[in-house]
Amino acid sequence: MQRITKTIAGLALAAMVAAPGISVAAEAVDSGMTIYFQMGGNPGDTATLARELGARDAARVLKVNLIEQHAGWDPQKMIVQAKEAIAAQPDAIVVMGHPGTNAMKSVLDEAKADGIVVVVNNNELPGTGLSYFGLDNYGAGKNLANLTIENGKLKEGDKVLVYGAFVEGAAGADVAKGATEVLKEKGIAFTPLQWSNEAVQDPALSVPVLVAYLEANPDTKAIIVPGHGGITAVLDKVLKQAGKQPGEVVTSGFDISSAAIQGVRDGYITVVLDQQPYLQGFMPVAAAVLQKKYGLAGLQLNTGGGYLTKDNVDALAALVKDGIR
Amino acid sequence: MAHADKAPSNPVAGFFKIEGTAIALVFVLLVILFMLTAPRAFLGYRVYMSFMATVPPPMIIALGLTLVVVAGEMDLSFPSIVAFASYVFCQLYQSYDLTWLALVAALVTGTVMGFINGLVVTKLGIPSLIATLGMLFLWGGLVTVVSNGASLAIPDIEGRLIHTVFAGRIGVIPVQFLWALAVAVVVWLILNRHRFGESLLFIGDNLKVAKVVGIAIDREKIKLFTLMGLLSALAGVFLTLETTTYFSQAGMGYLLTVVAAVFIGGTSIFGGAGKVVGTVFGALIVAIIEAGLVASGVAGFWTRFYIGLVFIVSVTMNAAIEDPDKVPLLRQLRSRARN
Repeated sequence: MQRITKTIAGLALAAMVAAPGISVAAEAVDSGMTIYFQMGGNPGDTATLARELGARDAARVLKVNLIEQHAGWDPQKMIVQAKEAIAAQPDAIVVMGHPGTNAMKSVLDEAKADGIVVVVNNNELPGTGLSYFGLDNYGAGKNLANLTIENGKLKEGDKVLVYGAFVEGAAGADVAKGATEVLKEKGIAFTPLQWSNEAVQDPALSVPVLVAYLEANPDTKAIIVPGHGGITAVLDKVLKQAGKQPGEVVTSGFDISSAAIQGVRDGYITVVLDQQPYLQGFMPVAAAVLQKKYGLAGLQLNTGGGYLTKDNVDALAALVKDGIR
Repeated sequence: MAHADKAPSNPVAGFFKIEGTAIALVFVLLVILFMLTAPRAFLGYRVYMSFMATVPPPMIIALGLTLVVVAGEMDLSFPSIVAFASYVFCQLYQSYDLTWLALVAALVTGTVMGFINGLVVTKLGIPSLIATLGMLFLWGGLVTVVSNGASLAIPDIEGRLIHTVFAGRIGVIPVQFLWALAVAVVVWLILNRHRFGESLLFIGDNLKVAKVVGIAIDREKIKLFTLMGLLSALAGVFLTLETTTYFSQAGMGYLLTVVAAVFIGGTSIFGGAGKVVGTVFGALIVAIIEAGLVASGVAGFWTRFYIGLVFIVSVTMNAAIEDPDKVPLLRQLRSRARN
């Protein structure tokens, strides 16, 4: 963690040194800025903790007064929180893109009028040209499906369950769309199953639903969970309770957690895509400071390049324990 | 109160006056329906074993909440107590390899939190719905702070004695379901055979009368919320042993389903009457609906619609089987038929 912090701080410093001189570099590091930061989910949940830790680390390095907002992945609440943040007239706000560009337009206009820097996180706001740090969600869904097909050796004609969000604008909907489009392209039959709000909050509640599905559809070759770390973490329970052996049904999902690591180790979970949310916390804070101080804008970083399989599980386990991955 | 119901006029009606028989029939009809629509899943045993492994935590909480509702109160703080107990248990196991002491510590934690809930309700005079909503956030925030938001996994607890005793399998039957039934028996005895239960029924039925007959209202309410805290913590331990994981949102998904289980089971929202057996079947119905619909091939956005429909039909059938006159529409139809 210290190495990442130092590297990013070094990058920031290098940018400042290359511009107006050492005295200004010190000013940027000691930014004194206030940033409102939308963390997305709930405090400490599997998809949020690393983002929180990343943002706090960056805030510590750059002397930012960080104010965290949590919306439980509710797009409506994200809009309300963005308005509340602007009302407080901070130096910058970091928003989630889940509400969509149209819904966020008035918020973005207001921020622009007030000279507040806006950085987008986790889910893009297409067409705004704002700095964005997160997944290309649609691409991540495609990536997840391709990794599942490759690692699970799925072929045309196989039947797959996609357990995710299929309501437009919901967290994970773009991921599910990407995943299902790959399945269509490859001729792999799939059933889309919408997860319930209760299962999203308490993933244990998804277990009997998925067990019942496997019992009713014993020819299911794979379960793909596009976008929920908690549900990904209980996939091993699903297979055990459905009487399946490790690997008998290929499973894949999102967000590395201790439980997902155990599932991979035991062979019940095949692939877990890692959106590296630590970077989604650290980078927006650094970008907001650089934009406010030097006008460096329009930065883009796809953080979703990592994934967990049986081959790299041991290397990632230690970082997960610290909440970094 | 429930005890004051009029005498049944025929044997069938008399049978359905026995506590829980009507809602049990609704549950059986639902299972038969799913056996017809999803025979592969519901004629096998695995799906039932999965329910038996998953239902105990919400069922235990719903049993406690039944007593709370009987007393005319509400407790919405239980998800955070579930999470807190889960954290205490996981942390003590992971850091100090404690098992039975971790269980005791988790239960004590929940009991103390419930006691404090009781104090907030009685000594600050805040209505329990509002007070416990506040405590939901307070305890939930505290456990996130204490745990630093991190989740904990204790997969190696499988195979330890405590796991075998509370979350093992007797043959294929998850043992936690038997524990949940044991809790149901104890709660039933408390409500129907113990002075504490009688006090709760009095308090829920008529607070003024309860005071007149000398019931120490505050003391009984504090005991009630303390018991609710204990049962929530117990549910938290069962959840942790089954999933071998703590995460700070543990229990949040139970908030509406537990409340639904209590009211589907036939406990009066106005207090003064409660059906423990009804709550047991209410919890089973809530658990089985989504899985049954999914296995039946109801996919996409229709699942949510049908869950609501089955809820409404279940509650209506429960009332109608017990006494058709409890359903205004049926009462009107019967009245017209008689005329």
